Amino acid sequence: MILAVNPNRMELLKLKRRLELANRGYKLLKDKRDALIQKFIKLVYENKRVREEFDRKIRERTNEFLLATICMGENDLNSIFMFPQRLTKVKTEYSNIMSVKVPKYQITEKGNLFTYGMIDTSPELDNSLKKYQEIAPLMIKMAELDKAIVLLTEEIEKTRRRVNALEYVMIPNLEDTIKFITMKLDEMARSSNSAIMRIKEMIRGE
Amino acid sequence: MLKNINESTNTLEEYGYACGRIRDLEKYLLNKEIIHKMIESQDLEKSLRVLAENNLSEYSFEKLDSSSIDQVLVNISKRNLNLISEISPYPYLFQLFSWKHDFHNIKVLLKAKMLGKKELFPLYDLGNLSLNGLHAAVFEGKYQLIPIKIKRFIKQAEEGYLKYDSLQLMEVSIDKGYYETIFEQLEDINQDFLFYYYKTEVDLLNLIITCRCKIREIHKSKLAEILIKYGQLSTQKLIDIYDNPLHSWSNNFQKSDYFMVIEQGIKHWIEKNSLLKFEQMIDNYLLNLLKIGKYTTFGLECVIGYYYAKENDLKNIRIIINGKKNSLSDIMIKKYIRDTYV
Repeated sequence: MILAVNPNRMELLKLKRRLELANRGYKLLKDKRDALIQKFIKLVYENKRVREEFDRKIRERTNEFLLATICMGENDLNSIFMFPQRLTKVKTEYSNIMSVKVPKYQITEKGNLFTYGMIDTSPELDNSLKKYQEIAPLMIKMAELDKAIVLLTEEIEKTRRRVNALEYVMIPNLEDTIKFITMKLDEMARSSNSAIMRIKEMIRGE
Repeated sequence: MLKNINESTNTLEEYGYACGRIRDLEKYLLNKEIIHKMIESQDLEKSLRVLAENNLSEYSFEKLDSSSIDQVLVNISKRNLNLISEISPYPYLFQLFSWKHDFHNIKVLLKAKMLGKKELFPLYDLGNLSLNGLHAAVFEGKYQLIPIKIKRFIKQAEEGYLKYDSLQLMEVSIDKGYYETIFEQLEDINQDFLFYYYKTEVDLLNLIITCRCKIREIHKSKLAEILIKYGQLSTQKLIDIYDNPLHSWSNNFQKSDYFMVIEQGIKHWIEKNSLLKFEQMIDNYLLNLLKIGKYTTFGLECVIGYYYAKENDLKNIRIIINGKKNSLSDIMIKKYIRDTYV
């Protein structure tokens, strides 16, 4: 599509400069998109690994917890967990991946995990809770990766749209307009040449 | 078990009636066959039907949600305790078995107080002390309805919590109070078998507590405060081995009665990183000790054996119900089921 501009040399120069800039931007954005995709794939694989590890561990831990509490009644279990003293805090920091601000979560735990005695509870419960606690950082890592993937996906989509807009709309339009103005200017040059030639002939004929 | 049979065994003729009744009641205890049938049933409903088919109508579960099942099992436990108190010539002896419920209630009420909540708590109505009395003591500081020693335990536990902000230490202090109460009462009762049973229980409990302290990464110096002092095994011995490698622990108990339990329990712990087997072996050891009751015609052993056998049945039923509800495999359930009395 030809842009609505006046076909003159000034515009032609401006458009050529814009085309040059668009080409440079296109190349840069394409590189950014490729790098983002590369990072994205890496994160997806890492996420898959962490998720599989988490799934395996949570299944094991749930089974262990079930076995640990298999002899206990509802009353006993409720009384054990009625007053938890463990406090878990998640601190968020940000890192930069190709100008995308990706969160990094850091988990800090405070307080005693075991808030019950040792004579009327299953000994395996201690083991089970301790192992459960070990998967908390894995869960946080999974959330961090999930968020990073979502943010990168949005950025890739945005960059891809920009690249496509440059590749299929802006650059062709600029090229078409430049071609049009060049042709128009050539046409004007030719018509002024022929007018000059006619004037010359007319002068000679007198 | 047989080492507990001596000249004083089987001589308490006043238990003749109680033992006679119990011989009849023993027919309604779960045996291995019933338990295996229950485990091998397709689902929970069919599993519970096995109980009815074997004339164990006592276990009738109208609803299959956790709290209803729990309530039925708690009621059976209550009936069990009432029954042995009724048929025994000395009902006050069986207060011993109710103290654990009182101390459970104390723990729950103290936790509720620390949380600042006064609503419904998971309490047991099976203890020696009235729930109202305990409630008034913990929440309002009115100790008229409870014994002085219980007041002392409550105050100690509260002070401990306020000083160290640790529920773990608070509960440990109450647990120690529980055993202090039990052994004080045992002094009054003066029954060798009961003494022997509770001392064995404390020894095995101390062993498992030592393992749990290791898991909880509690420092050796704190162990003396946590271990219960009334057992036959010296608590100092347990403290001494605490920092030794786990595989060497059992070597220190080669001459003890519990050597097999300790050796296999620790071995399983090292190999599988689980104390389930240890716990199961301890339960089986104690049950085996109580089996002397089956061979006693005139004695307290018979009544105590029956009481714990019934409690053991309830535990087994709970394991099967929880296992079936959570779709555990039959093999897995069989692995953790306790031995049976009959």
